[in-house]
Amino acid sequence: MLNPACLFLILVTTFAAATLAALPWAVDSPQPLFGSLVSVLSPGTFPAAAALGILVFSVIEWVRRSRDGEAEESSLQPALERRGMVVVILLVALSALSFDSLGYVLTLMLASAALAIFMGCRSPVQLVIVCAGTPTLIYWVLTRVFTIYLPAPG
Amino acid sequence: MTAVALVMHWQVAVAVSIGVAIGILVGGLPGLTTATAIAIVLPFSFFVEPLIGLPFLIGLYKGGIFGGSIPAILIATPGTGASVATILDGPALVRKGNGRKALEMALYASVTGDTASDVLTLLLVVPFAAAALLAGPPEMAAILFAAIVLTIIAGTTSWLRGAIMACIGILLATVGRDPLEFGQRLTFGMDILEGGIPLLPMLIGLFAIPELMRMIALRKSATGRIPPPVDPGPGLTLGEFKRAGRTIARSTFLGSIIGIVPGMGQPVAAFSGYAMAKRASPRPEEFGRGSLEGIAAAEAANNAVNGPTLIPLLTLGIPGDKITAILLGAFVAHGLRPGPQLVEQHGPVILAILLAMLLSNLLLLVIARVLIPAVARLVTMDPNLLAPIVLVLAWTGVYLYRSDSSDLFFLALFGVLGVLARRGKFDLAPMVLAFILCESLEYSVGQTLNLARDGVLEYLLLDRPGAIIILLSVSGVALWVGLSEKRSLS
Repeated sequence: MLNPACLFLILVTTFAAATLAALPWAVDSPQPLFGSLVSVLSPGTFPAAAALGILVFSVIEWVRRSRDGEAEESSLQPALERRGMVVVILLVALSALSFDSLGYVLTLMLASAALAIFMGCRSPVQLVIVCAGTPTLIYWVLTRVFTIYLPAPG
Repeated sequence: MTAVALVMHWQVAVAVSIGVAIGILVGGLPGLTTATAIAIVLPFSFFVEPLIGLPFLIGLYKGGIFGGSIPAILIATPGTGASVATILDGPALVRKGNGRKALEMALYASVTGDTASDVLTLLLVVPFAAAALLAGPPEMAAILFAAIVLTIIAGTTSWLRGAIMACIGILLATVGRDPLEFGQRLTFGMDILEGGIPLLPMLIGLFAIPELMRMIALRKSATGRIPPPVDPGPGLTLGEFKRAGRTIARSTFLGSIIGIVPGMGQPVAAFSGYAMAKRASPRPEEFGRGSLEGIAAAEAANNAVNGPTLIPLLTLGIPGDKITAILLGAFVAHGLRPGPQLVEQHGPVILAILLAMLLSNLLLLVIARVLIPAVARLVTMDPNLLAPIVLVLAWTGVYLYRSDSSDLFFLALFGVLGVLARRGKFDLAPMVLAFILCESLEYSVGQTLNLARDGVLEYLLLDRPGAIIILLSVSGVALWVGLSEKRSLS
């Protein structure tokens, strides 16, 4: 199985290669002003240099890792963390979709309660105090004290 | 005098006190870092004046760095990276029944180191700003490049991984409008990317989501369940504090120097201060077995970094570490863009903020004494309860930044990136720093090329040798570090 460093290297290398390939049409051409270019530096130079840098350094790191046979273990629990990541990312995505319709308080109440239950919290008192109390208190402080707009249900 | 008048308001003291108190609590919780806390509460500070919002964040920073020493001493778990060296002696002192002495030494050494280094910062910031004004586009480009390189080689365990992260930061920063021609880059027709990648959702994603993951992974481990010691033991005597005086002075000096250099940060200062104290001590055998001097050395050094790290931030716009990178965002959001002109244009406000740092040390002394017993109980807080609170605060912080719920997608995206980077042991600091500095770097490089239309090398060698000297120096340091790393591997 791929270790986290390898997975990270594969992802960033793919991202850099895709960016490099897309650069010719993903960057607006510089428009001349009074017949001459505003800057000698092309808008594509920095993205191209950065993408190339990622590719070159990743390849060197890859070679170094395979030569040295580096084995890295995380002190955390990978399976639990993977499941946790899926839950948190799902919660973020669902919150983004429901924020404007369900409102701030309800969205965050549900999201934080889902996380607390996933983490093993079964006490109704704790759930109410933490998951309902925190967003309600913050909503009250921000909207009443600081008069900041936060989405309400509906 | 204007600066003193500006800081003499009760609102400033209240803001700093709240910041310090939150900082101590956050630093004391092993599941939450100071950088995460500052990133999360940063948008809240936008809704108050700069002289209240910025001292609040600085108070949180200082409180957090000290707060990290509480779990390091009591349960051998550092609350922040800065307090890793404190673990060497803190738990041993607790086992000997001297927990209270250890905590009080940590507090007094922290406050002494912090205060002395803040005075140094106040004295140095104006001369540094005057020198920075002499820098033109080539020197600025060289300094910005040097800052990124220094962060890669000094702040990370592997320069190769640091370089990959810095390149990712630069690539992400180029999304949106280019700073010279104002054309669109890498937006692929998506409206959400037109203004570039938003800094705060990125920071909160990179720092808060991995923290949530860590809490989830730790929920069944024993780390958070170790009971704090029941008997705190006797307090620190004046004689014991006086005996550590030389160590504190030495560590403060070292920490201040390290603070000025971008990329080094508190952990380097703490370990260097500790090593220096051990070498100079007549009783080196006590270090690592419960030495009060060891605690004083590590804590004075890591807190002495806090003030001087603002010198390159305020005068050159170069953050020294992750936390000051986030603070840079706060200054910009409050209309105070760090750089050579900042002190000239907003001198009184900047000096008032620096004076508020001194005030925060005084308040830290008072508030920490009150909060230490509470934090000692909090260090064992169940992550099941902490994680939902972090989630609510992180989501709120992201939304408050632009009142745009689509920013939550950036939170998710960078959360995944942050988790993968942390699991793969890729340091986030070079990426964040390169992301923040990229626009200024590209602008300075563009201006330099425009000025040197007839030949860059000729222009730099004949007209701007300062830039060449900076580039050669940083190349020399990078080469030396690269060779040392290769030698140590072979």
